[in-house]
Amino acid sequence: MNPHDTLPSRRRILGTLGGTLGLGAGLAILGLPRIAYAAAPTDNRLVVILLRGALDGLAAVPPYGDPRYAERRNGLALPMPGQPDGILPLDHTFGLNAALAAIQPMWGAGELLIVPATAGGYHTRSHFDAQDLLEMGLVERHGAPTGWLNRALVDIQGNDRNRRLGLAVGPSIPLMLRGGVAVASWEPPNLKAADPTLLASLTQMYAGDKLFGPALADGVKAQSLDDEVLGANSMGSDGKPRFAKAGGYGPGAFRPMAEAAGGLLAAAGGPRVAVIDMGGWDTHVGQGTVKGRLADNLRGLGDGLAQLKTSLGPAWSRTVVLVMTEFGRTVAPNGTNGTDHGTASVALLLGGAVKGGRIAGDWPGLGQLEENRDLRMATDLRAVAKGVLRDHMGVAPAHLDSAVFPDSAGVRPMGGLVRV
Amino acid sequence: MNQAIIAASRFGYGAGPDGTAAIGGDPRGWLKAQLGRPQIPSNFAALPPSAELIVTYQQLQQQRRQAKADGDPPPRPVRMARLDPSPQGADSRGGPEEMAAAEPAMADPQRGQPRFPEQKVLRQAVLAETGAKFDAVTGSPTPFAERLVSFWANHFTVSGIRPVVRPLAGSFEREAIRPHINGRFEDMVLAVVQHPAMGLYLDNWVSVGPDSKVGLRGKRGLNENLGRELLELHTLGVDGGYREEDVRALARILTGWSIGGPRVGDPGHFTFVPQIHQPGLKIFLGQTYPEAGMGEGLAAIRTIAHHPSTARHVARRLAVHFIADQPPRAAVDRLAQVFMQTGGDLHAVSAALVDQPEAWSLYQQKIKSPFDLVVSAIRATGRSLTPEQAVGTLDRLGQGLHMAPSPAGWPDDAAAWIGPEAVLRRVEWAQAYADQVGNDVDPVMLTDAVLGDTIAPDQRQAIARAESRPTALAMLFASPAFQRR
Repeated sequence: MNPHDTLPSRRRILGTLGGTLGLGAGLAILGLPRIAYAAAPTDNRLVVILLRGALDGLAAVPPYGDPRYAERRNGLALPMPGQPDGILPLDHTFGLNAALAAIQPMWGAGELLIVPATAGGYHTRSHFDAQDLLEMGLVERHGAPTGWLNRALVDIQGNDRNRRLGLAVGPSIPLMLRGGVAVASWEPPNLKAADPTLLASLTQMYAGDKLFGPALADGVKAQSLDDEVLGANSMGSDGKPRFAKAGGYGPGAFRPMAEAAGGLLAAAGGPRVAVIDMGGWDTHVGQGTVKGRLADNLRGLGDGLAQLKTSLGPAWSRTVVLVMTEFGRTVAPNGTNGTDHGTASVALLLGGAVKGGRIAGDWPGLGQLEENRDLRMATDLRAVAKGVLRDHMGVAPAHLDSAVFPDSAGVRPMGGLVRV
Repeated sequence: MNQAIIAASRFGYGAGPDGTAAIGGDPRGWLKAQLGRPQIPSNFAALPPSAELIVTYQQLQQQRRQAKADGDPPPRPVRMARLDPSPQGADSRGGPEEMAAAEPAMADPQRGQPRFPEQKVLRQAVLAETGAKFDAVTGSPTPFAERLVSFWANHFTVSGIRPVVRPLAGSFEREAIRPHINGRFEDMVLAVVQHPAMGLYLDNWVSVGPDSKVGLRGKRGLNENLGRELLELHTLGVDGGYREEDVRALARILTGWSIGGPRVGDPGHFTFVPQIHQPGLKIFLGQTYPEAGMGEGLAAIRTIAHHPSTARHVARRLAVHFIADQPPRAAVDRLAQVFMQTGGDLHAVSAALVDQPEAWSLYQQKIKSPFDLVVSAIRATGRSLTPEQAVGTLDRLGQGLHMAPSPAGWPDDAAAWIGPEAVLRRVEWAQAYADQVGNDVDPVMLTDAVLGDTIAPDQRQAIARAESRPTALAMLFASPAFQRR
């Protein structure tokens, strides 16, 4: 048993007080003026990376030590450790796909935690349904479409309603971040910035419009923060846009997004919680083993995660990055050397605040398969998210069970994921 | 409010510089009259059919391979998407894995320098398609019909986000969607499923029945992708009452629905390949399908195209697109009823859409997508964009033509399009475009022509008081009255 599971941490006490008295008041009572003075109620960072399209978890983190691995994966089994392009071993059971080499050093540094056989607790093989449910934090659809991370922000922000602690990186705000709390968004700029006088006139014109009014106000505010942190118009020293490649398509588009997210999250007055989307994981045909679409995408992911660490700088030590996907893929290749929609995949936790270098949760093995085709779920993604929100972001457990993940008291937060 | 303005904006791409003169005194009649006319713009005649694109591509690729075999150094390492879809060809020259693994190397024809002659051809095809589509919508005398084409193309999304499909997305819309917007839904579904672009996009062309002649060799097998999306997105809808077994059954039924290549069938065209069709009896949606080759798929498509869940799913998507993000239930019910009563006659369904009172009373509930915003601004000023300008503009606003992020197509709700960042991008684009054309127009006259009394007096006043013509025009395009419909 992990002592951190039973001893309430200082952060949790603060979180609880923050929930009842309002966070500012709680901090003042405890006499922590330095933190109270800081603009944000927490200095910890959380980045959620949503891999849309269903990541083949068995390809990303191959269980090469499972006795049924080679037989079950058949043509998709990766070369064993030591062979050319072979699996990068983590322990005697699990390894990393060679395309994820960029994050291998984090395992040695204790900054990478693997949670195998994760799924969302819902039963659907539709991408769109599953992504919606994963983002809403539900196992079946009900209520207004708002995201669990937005509902968590209610607690994280406490009384600080004017501060946009949430950040969506990309062209639109993902459902996970939509809801009652206003969030910032950032996307690579590739048009000339609008004239301030035009923006002022439009601010007036939009005043009566419930949709355009708040969106423009938030956009203008976010832009001034972006300019301050990233440099006006995000131009590099060579006079070219720093993020020219972002906003495009394909595996290379992720890294510039991670770079910008890291820069903004590192800033003293910046956001504390960010969501980045990465697509391209729906590998029905020829997903490849050491070469191909999946390997390219994994390489793009790994490079982006390494970039995120670099861009966060010292703030990396206070960061948890949660990488997850809507469901897994079939264990065996389909008829076209790809994989079809399955059940469990894998979740990764990375960051200086992660108690990593190990595997968390159970491994159901490849002996018994769900419906004779899928990896079975061992860990509910909500348990992972709840553990991180409780122990890293100080969200009150009662709020987690009822508001963030409604009716989820039966899904216990996973303890010991972070260094507390 | 001015009914002609509503007709032009809600059902079309907005009024031109002459306002609603062309609409006359019967806006509903003007809309319905568009449903009876042929909808093939004249500038489409010069565009190559899909089969020609596929065959040209194959030939150029073949020549390059031959040159390489003859000892000429290849321009770059060969990592190309194969477009030889015959299963025999696939077997003899590498499987679909090789094809898909190579896909990213084909690259977006819009970006970077083409590496190979075939890429140059494909890039030209994409630019020509984009230009023709843009001209069709900006200059069309039948804008409601054009909106329907775009709506159905999005309903049956084929996205160039998979590079192998990119050059075919435009011809898919011309060949499988456009001819059927006023016809029967069943015919549109059939045309879509048989189109090579959909076969490639959702992998059905390489789906092999496990017990078929090719399947028994053990190298290839079933792919569920098309079967699933056909049910979930195109017909019954996710809550339409089908089960996982039905997805697999439909996938088996549709094995053999492939594309002709050099060695099988009609090159570049839909071809039924019996050697990969899963033989035997199938049970789909509770019905038994005895072995009937291609006939099974025809029967299954007829069944799902006429299914009550399909009527409801299609009715709801139409109402969301044309009426409101959360459409009134009564309107959805009525549209579904017309769909069922007419056996999926899309002419009747579109006419019923015009007759829904909510389509007129709930004005300005919908937000224009970036494509619709740009097109309506171009239309309002009576101009056009070059294909290169159109491609660049849409990319920057996050809605590249035929580049939807997934088979579900582009989102159709305000929340997806109007975030803080997106609003700024729209303002920036409005300013950039107004800077180009603003000095040649009278912004107040144009505001009255395209918005009439649908813009609030104080907002009209703000435009009139802007510091310059370009600023005033930018305010018109950025105004909520222009961005809403």
